[in-house]
Amino acid sequence: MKKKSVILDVEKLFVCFHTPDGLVRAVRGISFRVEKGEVFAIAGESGAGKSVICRSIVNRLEASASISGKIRFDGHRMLELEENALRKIYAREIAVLPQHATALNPLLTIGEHLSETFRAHFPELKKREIRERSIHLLDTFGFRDPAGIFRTHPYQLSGGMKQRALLSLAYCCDPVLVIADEPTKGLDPVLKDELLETLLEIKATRDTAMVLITHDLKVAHRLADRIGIIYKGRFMEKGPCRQVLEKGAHPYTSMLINAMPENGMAADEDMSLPATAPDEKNGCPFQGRCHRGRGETPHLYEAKNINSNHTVWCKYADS
Amino acid sequence: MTLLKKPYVLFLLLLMVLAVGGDSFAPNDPFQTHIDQRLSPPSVDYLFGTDELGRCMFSRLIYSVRISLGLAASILVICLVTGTCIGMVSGYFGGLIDEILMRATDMIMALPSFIVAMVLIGALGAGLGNMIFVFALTGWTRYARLTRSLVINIRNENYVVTARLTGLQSFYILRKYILPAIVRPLIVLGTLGMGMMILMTSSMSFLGLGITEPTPDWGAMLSNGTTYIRTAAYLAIFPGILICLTVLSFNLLGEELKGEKK
Repeated sequence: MKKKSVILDVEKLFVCFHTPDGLVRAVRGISFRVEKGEVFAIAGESGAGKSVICRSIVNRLEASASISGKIRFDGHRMLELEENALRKIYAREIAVLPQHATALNPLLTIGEHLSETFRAHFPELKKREIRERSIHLLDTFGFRDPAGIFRTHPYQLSGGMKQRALLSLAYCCDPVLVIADEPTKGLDPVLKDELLETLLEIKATRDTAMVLITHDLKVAHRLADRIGIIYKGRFMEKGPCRQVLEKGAHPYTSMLINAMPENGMAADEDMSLPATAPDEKNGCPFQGRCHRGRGETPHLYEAKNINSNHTVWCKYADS
Repeated sequence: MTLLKKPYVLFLLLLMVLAVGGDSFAPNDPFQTHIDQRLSPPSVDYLFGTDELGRCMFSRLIYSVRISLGLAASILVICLVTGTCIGMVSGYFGGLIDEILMRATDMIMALPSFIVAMVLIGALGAGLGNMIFVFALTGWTRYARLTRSLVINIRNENYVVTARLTGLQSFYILRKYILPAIVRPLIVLGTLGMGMMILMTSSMSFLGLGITEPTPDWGAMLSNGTTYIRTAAYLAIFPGILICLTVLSFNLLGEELKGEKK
């Protein structure tokens, strides 16, 4: 089973931000691996550190951030790479799927967007070849009139089409890894389903790994192979997606599932609890909100293995 | 095309035509002296009268459009290009480059540009080339400042961030993503700056430090006219009106362009 090669290896990632209000510890010791062709989802509430993880993978954090840990991608140490080396990796090896349709330059046509990316990474390509490739790409991403789309500007497209244009842009150089930062955010249910279908199709036809940042567990459930639930910059539970979402062992996981619209959006049972738990250094960050551990003395944050690849960081979970 | 209906736009277009057509529109040779008809008042032959050497004022004014507008426009273009480049690099890359470029800009901004221009012209000598040089030397700073602040706004737009993440070259992003987005406010400031440039260069010529005889220039003609203000006031009045109308038109156009954005 363990034949597949590891594409992305994040090891003990810590990220802090120095702000005027003091040190903000956004990510506190996250480790995970993504194998070739695998979809790894990172889910959690807003402010849990999802986007920070995603930006550290592409080494695009603000100057005010201090990072420690290792991020290895395909033999590159991402955190140590220079700007020029990074530029060669972007799109060609790691592509970022942006979350908003505003990620398209309003003054350039879809074709120009694709061509400029092709030109940047394959300077030897001729104009005609670039055009052919782009049109072929648009065709595979389900545009009915790819040659026409090639010539249109973003404002002429609908929201769903823009989203699909962004998808084709992310996959245009056939990257090894795609980082999708909440791709379904802000889309209406119909578009969301449509995008999800497209993503599933891509997953079936291409051998591209994906890190999927989301707080939509339904999307994660259908798309991801493995999932990590994070809270306050730490993993709460990590394992095969179905196993975690269907037989979750951590109280936070069930809390997230209960908060889904389909399940009646039952949020925290006790709303009066402070959302920010006391920051004990090695204590369980979730204890303040946990229905089992709330009143007890602080306990440690430690991992328990449910089986070989399902880990839960909870004192009360049965191993 | 509501812009074309505005009188000041039509006036500016007329000036452009005169600047290009130049002497072919002039009824008389602007350099030909008629010593027997010096300081004659406006007449059918000489629409705006003649100056102290008997040269046709009307022709000289028409001819001088090219000189005065051309001078102001070339200074402005140099300032705009330099300022935009410096501002874009400074705003986009930030950090140390930004710090160095902006402190240099501050230093130049701290100098009283007109005095510096006067001193430099005094040292280098008058003339078209020197005029362009001394005004361009201090004029680019306001464009650099504006560009920098515009770029800083645009730099964090989602599509620019995405462009960087698709591995595009910085200069490509500057050219294709940033420049088109900031060009409009720059045009507005440039139009407003044109009026100022005309005033500056005319003032310089008025002081006798700019364009020199026999080349006609609005400022120089105005200055010349003041000598005869009691006997032949039209010598100063016509260039004065021309300067006034041109500057006013450019300012109105600038305001119009600024408003149209909303």
